[in-house]
Amino acid sequence: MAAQLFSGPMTSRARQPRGAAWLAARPLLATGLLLLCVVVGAAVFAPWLAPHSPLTQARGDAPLPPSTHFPLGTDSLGRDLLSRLLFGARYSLAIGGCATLVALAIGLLVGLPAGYFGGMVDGALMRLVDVVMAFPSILLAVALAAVLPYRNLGTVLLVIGLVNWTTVARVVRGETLALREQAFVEAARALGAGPGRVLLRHIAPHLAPTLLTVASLSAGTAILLDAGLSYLGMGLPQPTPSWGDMLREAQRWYRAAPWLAVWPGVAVLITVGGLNMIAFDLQRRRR
Amino acid sequence: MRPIAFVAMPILLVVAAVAGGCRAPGDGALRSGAPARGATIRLAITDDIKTLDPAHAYDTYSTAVVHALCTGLVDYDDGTRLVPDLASRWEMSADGREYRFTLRPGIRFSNGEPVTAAAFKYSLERVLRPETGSNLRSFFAVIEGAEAVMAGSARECAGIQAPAPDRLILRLKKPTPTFLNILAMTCAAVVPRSVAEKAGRDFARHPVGVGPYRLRSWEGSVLELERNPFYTGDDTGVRQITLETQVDEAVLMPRYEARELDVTPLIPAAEMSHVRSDPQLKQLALEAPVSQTWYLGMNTRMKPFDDVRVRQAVNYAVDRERQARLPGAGVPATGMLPPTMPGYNPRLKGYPHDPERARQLLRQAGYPAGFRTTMWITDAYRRRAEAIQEDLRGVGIQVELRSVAFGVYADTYKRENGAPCWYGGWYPDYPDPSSYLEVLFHSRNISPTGALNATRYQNPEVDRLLDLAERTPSGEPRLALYRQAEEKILADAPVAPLYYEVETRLRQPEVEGAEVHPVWRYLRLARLRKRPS
Repeated sequence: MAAQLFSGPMTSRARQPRGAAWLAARPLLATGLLLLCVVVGAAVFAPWLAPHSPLTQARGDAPLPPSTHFPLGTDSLGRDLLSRLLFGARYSLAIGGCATLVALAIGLLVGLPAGYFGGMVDGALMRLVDVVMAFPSILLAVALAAVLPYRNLGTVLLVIGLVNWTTVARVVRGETLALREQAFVEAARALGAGPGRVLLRHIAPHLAPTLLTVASLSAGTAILLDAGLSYLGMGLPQPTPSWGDMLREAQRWYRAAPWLAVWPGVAVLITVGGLNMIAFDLQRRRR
Repeated sequence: MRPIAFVAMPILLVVAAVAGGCRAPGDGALRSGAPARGATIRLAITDDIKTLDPAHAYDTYSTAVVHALCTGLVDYDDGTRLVPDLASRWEMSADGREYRFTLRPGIRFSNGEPVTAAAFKYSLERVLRPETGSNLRSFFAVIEGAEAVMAGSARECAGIQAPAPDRLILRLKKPTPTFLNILAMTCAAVVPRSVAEKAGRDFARHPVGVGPYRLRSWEGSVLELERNPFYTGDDTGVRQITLETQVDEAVLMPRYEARELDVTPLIPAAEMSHVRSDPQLKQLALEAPVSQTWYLGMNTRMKPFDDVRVRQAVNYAVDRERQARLPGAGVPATGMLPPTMPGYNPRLKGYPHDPERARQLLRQAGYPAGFRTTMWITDAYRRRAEAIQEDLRGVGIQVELRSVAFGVYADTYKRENGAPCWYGGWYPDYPDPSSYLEVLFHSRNISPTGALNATRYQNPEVDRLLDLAERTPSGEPRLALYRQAEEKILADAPVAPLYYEVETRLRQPEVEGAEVHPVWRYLRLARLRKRPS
């Protein structure tokens, strides 16, 4: 439904196709949703789909290649890769989703006043954005993760949200800048509405389509950041099955057990690819 | 300070004989004729070199390089026996408190300056002086008058005398059976006063000493050592050693295979089965135990590890065989003292892997459903720690792994109430049981922060045995006391010994002298040489 809200002039001219036909007309969105559904399905049904516990070690000291018992093989501690991959989807999606909510909250908090008030407020807030953007986000995330007293799901997604809000803030500012000149905003102001009311009741709702696009992109980035953090040893503590952590171990075994790198790599690709396809489609329709 | 010109005698005594005569057995195929002249040796390590100042170097790699640049009075043979190095001989007084050294004639620093006993006196005092800021000075605290120098109230140490250019006398506060071991550490190496005083802190990057090599350059992550022209010891024919630091472990093997490295610092666990199954590589692999024991430390003053039954349960729960397999090479530990250590007790059985017995002990201790705890680790121990985590989960103990930077890790587990348990490794300062048992388990080494006895283990009987051993002169009766103490410690289980470290490396076919040494970790750079190809 949200997608229909801002379907572009092309579709609004013709009769709105429904259901499968509607999706067929938007193959990018359809593929993206399908990929995302696969990952969400894996995450939700992990306990039923996984052939083993993601933590149980087969007491080995080297990775086992794929076999009937371990469909995708095991890691170097003898843990089933498929099970870790399925449970890993839960953490990746949770972090991708929640970190994006954090990023949206901060981005709105910064972008709305910057775009609405302009001038000094805009200048100050946007310089703050520039400062944060000046650092490569992975570096900033590592620095933040390093000063954490300890890492768990909450702190890791907070770190990712904290480095991932700048795009949201910029987009929100740009949209607000355009919206505040619109007649309905001026009307609200003329009727005596204060800035708080105008921003929340009149401008914010109009940002929803934009935010949906930014959110899908941002969730992809968050998942990549999480994988990056875990890969650098700054992610969730062991033995949490996390895709980045699996990739990290794969690096050591890339000659002896190359399959270790393939599966988590494919998982990240599917998730981030799916999210980006959705975002790309939404963005294209808005133009 | 008066430089005395000695007639350089074509000698070099015992040292040369020892150095040349004691090659590792089974190396016959390699011992072929003269070494390659003017050879370059290319090495890489995964770690960093922190300092090249003998007064500060303490970690494996820094001391390995320092040892190639700066040597001292005594050294080890291919095992743990002490042999003369820059001293040609020494005598110990009957009361064990005075050592008289005679220096080898004709030795010079790598800048050409002659070496005198006064230089040794200066070098030892330099470590003691507060302005040097050396963490290693406590090793020399046993020398008479050392405390005054350490406190800054005296410039010179009364117990260090240089009555003649080739004679050095060291007087101790009490007999110390391990004193010569301390003198074999790199912190006792001789350095020239003229250079060290002028360089100050900069000496760490521009060291001068007496060694087969001298530092040519240290730029970025690459160190270049060149042959020291003033060195009178064994000439290996190697002109230059290039050492690349901070090389990723994952590229060691490809670079070795591309013949860009002459010796790898280790064989990665992931490559071990490949190396062992390849007949050619297998021949070029070197592996031997070194004096390091890995263990699981438990704070005996923190719940639930204050209960000996819980600590014993942990000992029964861990799978030592697997711990020894995970790094690629290792020997399951039955005690704290490793096999290369004098005093090692081959009769110790250790705790078997018996989860049922562990659960039983936990029930007796009042933890029928197990408990939760936190294990402090650094990232390097992660894989092995995860295996322990799984072992303990099997008996109901839920372990959260807290992986932090090494500095934080070490501060935490050595602090009062810092870490309930941690994955630890101990490498002794010298091959003597005191460097293990006394340091780690004597109650005098318990302090609120930075405690060496980090398990805060306290047993008056063990203290008594360790004190007695400390006063007993070297020999079998002394070692027997340490064995007795070790048995008591293992029964009280402040630690779960896991495995003894085995060092591994790969050499190119023409490289010789890369054997693993039980005391000098990494490589003894001075011994490396190449056969002519």
